[in-house]
Amino acid sequence: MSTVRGLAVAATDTKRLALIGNPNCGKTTIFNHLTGLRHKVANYAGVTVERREGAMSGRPDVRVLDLPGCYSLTPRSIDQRIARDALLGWAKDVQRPDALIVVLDASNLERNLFLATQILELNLPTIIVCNMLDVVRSRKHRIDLDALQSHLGAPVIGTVGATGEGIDRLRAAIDSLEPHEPRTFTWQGEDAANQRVAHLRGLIRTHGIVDPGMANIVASLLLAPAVLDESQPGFANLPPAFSSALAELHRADGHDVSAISQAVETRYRWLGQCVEAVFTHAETTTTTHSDRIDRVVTHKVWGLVCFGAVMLTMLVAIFSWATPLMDGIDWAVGSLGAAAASTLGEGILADLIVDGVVAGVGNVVVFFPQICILFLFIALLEDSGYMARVAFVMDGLMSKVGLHGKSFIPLLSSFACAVPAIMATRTIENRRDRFTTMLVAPLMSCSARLPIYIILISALFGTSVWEKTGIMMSMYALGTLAALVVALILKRTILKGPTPTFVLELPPYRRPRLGAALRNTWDRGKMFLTEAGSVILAMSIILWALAYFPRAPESANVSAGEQLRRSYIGRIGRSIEPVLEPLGFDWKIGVGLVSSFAAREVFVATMGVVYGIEEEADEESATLRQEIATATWPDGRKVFTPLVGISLMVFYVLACQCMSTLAVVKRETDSWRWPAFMFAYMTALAYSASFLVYQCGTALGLG
Amino acid sequence: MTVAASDRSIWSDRKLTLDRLGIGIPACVDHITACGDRGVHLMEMGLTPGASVTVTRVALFGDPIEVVVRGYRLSLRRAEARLVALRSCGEGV
Ligand SMILES: Nc1nc2c(ncn2[C@@H]2O[C@H](COP(=O)(O)OP(=O)(O)OP(=O)(O)O)[C@@H](O)[C@H]2O)c(=O)[nH]1
Ligand SMILES: [Mg+2]
Repeated sequence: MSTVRGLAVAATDTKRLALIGNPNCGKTTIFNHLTGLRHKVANYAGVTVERREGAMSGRPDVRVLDLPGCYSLTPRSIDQRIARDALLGWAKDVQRPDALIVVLDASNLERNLFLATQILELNLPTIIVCNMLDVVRSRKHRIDLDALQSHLGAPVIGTVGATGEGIDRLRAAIDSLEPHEPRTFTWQGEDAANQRVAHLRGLIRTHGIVDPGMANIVASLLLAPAVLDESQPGFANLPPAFSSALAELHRADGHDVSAISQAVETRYRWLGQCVEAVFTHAETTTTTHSDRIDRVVTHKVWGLVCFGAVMLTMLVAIFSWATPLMDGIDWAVGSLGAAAASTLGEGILADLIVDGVVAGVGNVVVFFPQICILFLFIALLEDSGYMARVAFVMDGLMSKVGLHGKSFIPLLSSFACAVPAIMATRTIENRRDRFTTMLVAPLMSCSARLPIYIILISALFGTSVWEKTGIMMSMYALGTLAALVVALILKRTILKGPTPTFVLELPPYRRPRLGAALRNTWDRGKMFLTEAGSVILAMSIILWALAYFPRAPESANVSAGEQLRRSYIGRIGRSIEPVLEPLGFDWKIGVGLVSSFAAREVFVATMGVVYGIEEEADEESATLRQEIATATWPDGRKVFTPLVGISLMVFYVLACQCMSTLAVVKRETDSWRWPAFMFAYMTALAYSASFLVYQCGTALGLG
Repeated sequence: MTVAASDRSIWSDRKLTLDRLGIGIPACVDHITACGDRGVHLMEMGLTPGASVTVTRVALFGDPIEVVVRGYRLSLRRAEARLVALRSCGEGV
C-alpha cells in the first residue's frame, strides 16, 4: 500500500490519465510538467505521433498518457487514429484511460472546444486545462474560467505551459478527481441524432464495443464516412459481426453525410454561444507580430528567398562557428594518440589503441560541435513556428510533385535524422502520400552525412568559407532535388493517386525557448557520442583487426603500406575495387563505403584507421584531413582529386546507408517490401549518379 | 479570377466561393458543397454555415491560400476552398 496525499491506493491499483486535445495546444508541455520527462515539444501541429506514457512525479500510482493531437474524434491520419483508439480503449496493447485531461488552447477557444465537447460526451471523469492563458492576456482578451466551468460541467484549470503557472492547481485537481463517478455532459444543442444513430447505438450496445456511457457519441462518430476509408484500417480490433453491420449501414445510406454535417453545425452553433459568454475580445484588434513577420516569410517571392537564407545561414554557421572547437578537439585527439603511443610503447595493444580506437572514434568525435550546431538550428526552427510556414510556401512546389506541403515538414526534419522524420509522416492523411514521403525522406542529407561532407570539403577545396558552404549547399540541394524527383516518379507510377487535400493550421510565432533547445541539442549530441562510443568503437576495432592481420613476419620487412594491402581488409577492398573504380574510388574508399552501411560516420573512422596503420612509424603524425589531401594511388597519382571528392559526396547524398532507417520503414509499413525497395533504388541511384559525375568529369578533363 | 473589394455586385453572384474571394474581404460561410468526408473535415475545422472568414494570403503559385476562421489561421488549397460557398455576413440564413 502506498499512501500519497490522502488518497490511499494499492500500488497495483494505478490510475491512468490521458492527455488529449487539438494539435499544438501544449499537451506535451503539460505532460512534461506532470511527469518530469522531456518529450519533444515544438511549435507546429503533429509533433507527437505516438502514445507516450510516464508516471506522474510524486504520484507513482498515476500514469499519464500523452497522445497525438486531433481536431475531432473522427481520425483522418494514423496519429489521430492512435489518439482515438487510446481514448476508446480500442488499442490492442493498452487499457482505456480511467480519466481524461482535455487541453485547450485558450487563444483559439472555439475550435478547441469542438473536440473538448465530443470528449466530454464520452462520460469519463474529465479535467479541462485551459492552456496558453499568457497569449490571451497579451492580446488583451479576457476569459472567464468559472463561466466556462459551468458551461462544460467539468473542472477547468487555467495554465501557462511555458512558465508552469497553474500546474500545481492541476495536480490538486488530479488528486481530488473522483474515479468512480462518471458524470454526464449534455450540451444544450438540438438533438442531431436521428434514426441511424439510434440504430448504430443499439448495435454498439449489443456488441459491447465501448462502455454504455460512450455509446451515444461513438455512434455518431462511426457514421462518418472517413471511418470506412481504405487507408484507415481502424477496425481490426472490433468484432467482425459489428464491422460488417457498420459497413452495411454505410452502404445503405450511400455515404450520406447530412446527419454528420448537421451535427457538426449544431455543435459549433452551441459553442459559438458558449464562447460568447466566456470570452471577451479586446476592443482594438492590433496586428500581431506574427502577421508582420508573415508578410515577409510567407510572401510569394520573399518566402522562398527567406527559406534559402535560413538554410545558408545554418551551413555557414556549421563551417565557421564550429571550426575553432573542431580544431581544438582535433588537437586533443592527436595528443591523446601521441600520449597513448608513448606510454604503451610498441606492440599490438598500442597499435590497437592508437590506430584503432583513437584514430577511429577520435576522428568521428571531432564532428561533435557541428552536429550540435545543426541540431540547435533545427530545434530553434521547429520551436519558432517556421515549419508550418515552409509547408505553406512549399506547397505550390509540392503539389507539382503530387504531394502536399505537409510532406515538407518530415522532409525538413530529415536534415537532422530520417528516423523521426519517417515517423512524422504519420500525420499525412493519405497512405500513398505517406509512403511516398517516407521513401524519399532518407534522400535529405541527415546529420550523419555531415562529417563526410565536412572532411572531404575541408580537405579538398579552398579555404574560403563561402566556397566550402557553396559546395555543401549544393549537396543539400542535390538531396532535396532527388527527393522531389523520386517522389514525382513514385506518385506517377507505383503510388499513383489523386492530389491530396491540404488543410494545415498555421500557429502563431513563438519565441523559441533557448533553454529547451539547448537541452534538446544536448540530448541529441549525447546520442551522437553514445553512438561513437558503441557502434563506431566496435566497427573501428573490427576494421582495425581486419587491417592489421594477417601480419607479415617481422623479418620480411615489408612497408606499412604493403602490409595493409596484404591484410584481410586489403584483400576485401581490392576484390571490390573494380566495381568502384569507374566512380573514381580506390580500395580504401571502397572499404569505407562498405563499412558505412553500419552507420555513415564509420567512413570517417575507416579512413582514420586505414591511414593510421599505413603511416610509417617515423612519419610525423598528420590530421586525417591532411592525410586525405595527400593520399596517392600506387602510381603516384592523387587519390582524392576534387572530382573524386564530389563523386564520393554524391554517393553519400543518395545512398541508403542506415540500418535504423530501414528498420523504421519496416515497422511503419509493416512489410519488408518497402525497405527492400528503398535500399535497392537508393543504392542504384547513388551508384549511377557517382558514375556519371566521375565519368563526365573525367571526359571534360576535370579529374 | 478573384473578386475585388471594389466590386459592389459580388453578393449578387450567388455562387461566390472561398477560392474566389479577394484578400481582406469579410464574408460568411453559406454552406459546404462537398459531399462526403472532405466537407465534414472542413466543417470540423470551423467552416460551418454562418462562420465568418477572410482570406489573408495567397502563396506563390496561387495555391494554397490562407484564411482566418474562428480566430485562427488555416491554410488550404483552392480545390478545397471551392467547396465553401459564401454569403455576405449581413444576410440571415
Ligand atoms: N505562449 C505559450 N506557449 C505555450 C504554452 N504551452 C505550450 N506552448 C508552446 O506551444 C507549442 C506546442 O506545444 P506542445 O506541447 O508541443 O503541443 P502538443 O499539444 O503536444 O502538440 P502536438 O504533439 O503537435 O499535438 C510549443 O512551442 C510550446 O512551447 C503556453 O502556455 N503559452
Ligand atoms: Mg505533443
